[in-house]
Order: sequence, then structure tokens, then C-alpha cells
Amino acid sequence: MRSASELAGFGFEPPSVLERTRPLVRILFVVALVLALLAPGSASLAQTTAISDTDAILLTKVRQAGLWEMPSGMMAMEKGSPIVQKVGFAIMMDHGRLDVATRALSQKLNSPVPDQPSDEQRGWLAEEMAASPGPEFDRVFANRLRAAHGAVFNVLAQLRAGTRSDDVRAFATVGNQAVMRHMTMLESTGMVDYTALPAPAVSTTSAPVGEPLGLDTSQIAVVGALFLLLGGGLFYALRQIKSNRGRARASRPATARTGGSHG
Amino acid sequence: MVETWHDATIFLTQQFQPKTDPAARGLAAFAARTSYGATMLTLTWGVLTATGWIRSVTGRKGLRSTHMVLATATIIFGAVHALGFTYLTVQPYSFGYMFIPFGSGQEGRHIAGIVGFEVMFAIFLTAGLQRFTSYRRWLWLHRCAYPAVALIAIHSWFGAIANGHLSVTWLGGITLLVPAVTVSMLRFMPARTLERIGLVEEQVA
Repeated sequence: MRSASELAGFGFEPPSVLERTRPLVRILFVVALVLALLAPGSASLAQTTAISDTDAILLTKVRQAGLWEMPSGMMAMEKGSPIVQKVGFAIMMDHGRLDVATRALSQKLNSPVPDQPSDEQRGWLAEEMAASPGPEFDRVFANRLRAAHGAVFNVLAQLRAGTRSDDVRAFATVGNQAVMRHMTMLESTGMVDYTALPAPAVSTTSAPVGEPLGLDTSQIAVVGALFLLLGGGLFYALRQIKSNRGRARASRPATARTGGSHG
Repeated sequence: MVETWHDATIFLTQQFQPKTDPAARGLAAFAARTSYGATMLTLTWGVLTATGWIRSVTGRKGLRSTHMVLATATIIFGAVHALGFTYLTVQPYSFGYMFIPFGSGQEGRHIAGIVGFEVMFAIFLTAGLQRFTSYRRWLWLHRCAYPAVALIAIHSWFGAIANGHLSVTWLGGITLLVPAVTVSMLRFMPARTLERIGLVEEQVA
């Protein structure tokens, strides 16, 4: 008859607490590693830099666009044809929302914005005021606003593509969509004279990869690393759990365990 | 008149800004994020239920119940997200736009969301009807959840990009997406590969 110490020598000793908790410690280590590596990545992706001169120009342009287009929309509701009234109302409401966002961002970034439209915009407003209600007003309204939106659209697109500030990027995305929507609505009136619009100036060089999302190579690498770490961590955890169960069943005959047959 | 531009803007903004729209949009965004999270976890739990990889930790019953609860949350919050847009006072979406895909003027990301949601809803409705149809037919429909989740993920990510929320939601979005992608990939790997990497036990008899 063998003693307990001899049996231990044959490997029949039950696993110690340390051995049993080892997989858990490994999983926790992987989780901690993932979190530690995520911290700098998070900072690099979500960083917000100080506002640049070009970012300040964007806030100014959008603010001034609202300052003359909201009264324009108001006028359209009084002097325009039914379709122009509808377009004017939608533009006024959108600029109301955009103006709230502009002022909030200007306050957050400590970048003052003007309280008045530019002289040129005041001139356009005067032109609208002078136009008689009906087709004449519709024509002035549709063409002046369409041309102005085209100019702001250019500024928004450039800033959206190249700004270093997360806040400005998000703001430019919303503004870009609003301006695009307004141009489409103005064009739906059928009164826009496209030949009067400035000719487009397009660069013939191809855009670098990732530019449409405003992502640079390092940010794409962070996202890739995140995928690898989280996916790898999960895979490791699953393997640990499976191997624990496998050890527990070691004394029983193994059967095919290819998983369930559904889902 | 020039001196009053600022006041006029404030007046117009406050007077004509619909008071309920920010609430409806906020609720829709919250429901969207919750539904996205529930969708990813539903898929993850579904694969874990099917494969039994963590059955030793939770038990099959627990896994299955959690999968069903998460699926219910996915459908409810997804529906709240869609319905939220019908309550907007300015440019609301119609029921037809919300629930009938491939309509005129629909954006691609919206079509992806509508189709994904409706496939999930079909799976949700038929989950309890297994005994009334052949198992293979039921299974075929249930497995449509994989492309449906992919469509919902596309809808969510492009929605976040379009609304300028990507910088806020990207980390949570990826954290929830990765487990779903990982277990789905493992689910469709050949049994021999799974055996080699230690996720499937050796077949002896």
C-alpha cells in the first residue's frame, strides 16, 4: 500500500489554490494589459487641440451664414411662393439649430464669433427686401442663398478634411450636412441659375488614404491594435475556460465536442 | 436694424426652435447606442450558447436566457430608436420611410439599418416557433442574424460618422464590436482548426 506522499509523486495530488487561480490571474493580466495599452490610444484619438485660425474662420462663416439666412428664411415665409416658403422655413430652423451649436462651440473653444452679418450679406438682405413678393423674390432668394451656400460648403469641406480639433471636426460634419441639405432644397425650387455660380476649382492630386474620415495612419493603427488586443484577449479567455473544463473532464472519456448545432 | 442682428438671431432661435426635437433626438441616440450594445452582446451570447465554450462557467440555461433577454432589448431599443424620428416636429421621418426599405430618397445607411432591424425582428418572432416548422428551416432563418448584425453595425457606424458622434462613441463601439466579430469568426472556422487552437475537444469515439 502506498503512502500519501508516494501517491503525490504519481501526480494524483489535487491542484493547489495557486494552480487553480493561475488562469484567472492570466486573464486579469491580459485585461490589464489591454486597458493599459488602450489609454494612450484613447488619448491620441480623442484629443482636442487648441483652436487654430482656420477653425476660427469656420465658426465665423457658419455664424454669419446663420445671421443673414435666418432673416432670409423669415422673409421667404412672408414673400415667397409656397415652395419657397417651405424651403425658407426649413433653412431658418436648421440655421437656428446650427447657431446654437456654433455659439456653444465658440464658448467652449473661447473663440469669439461676430454678432452681425458681413456687409456683403447685408447687401443681399437689402436686395431681398427690395424684391417684390412672388417670382422676383423667389429668384433672388434661391440664387443668393444657393451661391452663399456653395461658398460655405467649400470652407466646411476643407476644414472637415483637415482640422486637428475633434470638436471642430464633429461640428463641420453636422454643418456640411446641413449646407448640403439646403443646397438641395434651394435647387428643388427650380429657380437656381447654375451658369451664374462660380466655376469649381478642383485639385487633380489624389487624396491620401483615410482622409475622408479624418483619420491618419497612427489612428488607424490604434484601431487595428485595439481589435487585435480585445479579440486576442477574448480568445485567450475562452481557451482558458475550455482548458479548465478539459482538465476537469480528464478522467472521463472524451467525446466529440464541436459545439451545438444551432445559432 | 443692424444693431439688433444678434437679438434677432437669439429671438428666432428661441422662438422657432422646436422644444421637443432635442429630446426626441437625444432619446433616439440613447436607444440607438443601447440597441447597438445589446445587438453585439446578443450575437456573442448566441455563439457562446451554440458552442458551449463557457458553459462550464454559466451553464447552458443561463447563457440561453441571457441571449434571449439581450435579443429582446435589441428589438425594443431598436424600435424606440426608429420611432423617435417620427416624433420630430421639423423634417420628421414617416413610418413608410422608417420601415419600408429601398424607398425613393432613402440613404444607404438607413436602408442597412431598416433591413437589419427587420431581419432581427423576423428572427425574434420565429424564435418560439421552432416546433411548428422543420429545424433546418428555423435554423436557416436564425442564422440570418449574422448578416443582419453586420448591417446594423454598418448603420450604426455610418450614423455616428454622419452625426459627428464618432469621436465620442468609437471606443465603446469597437469594444462591443470586437467580441461579436471574434466569436463569429471562430464559429465559422473548420472544426479541425478549432481543435488545433484548443477550442474544441479531441474526437475519440
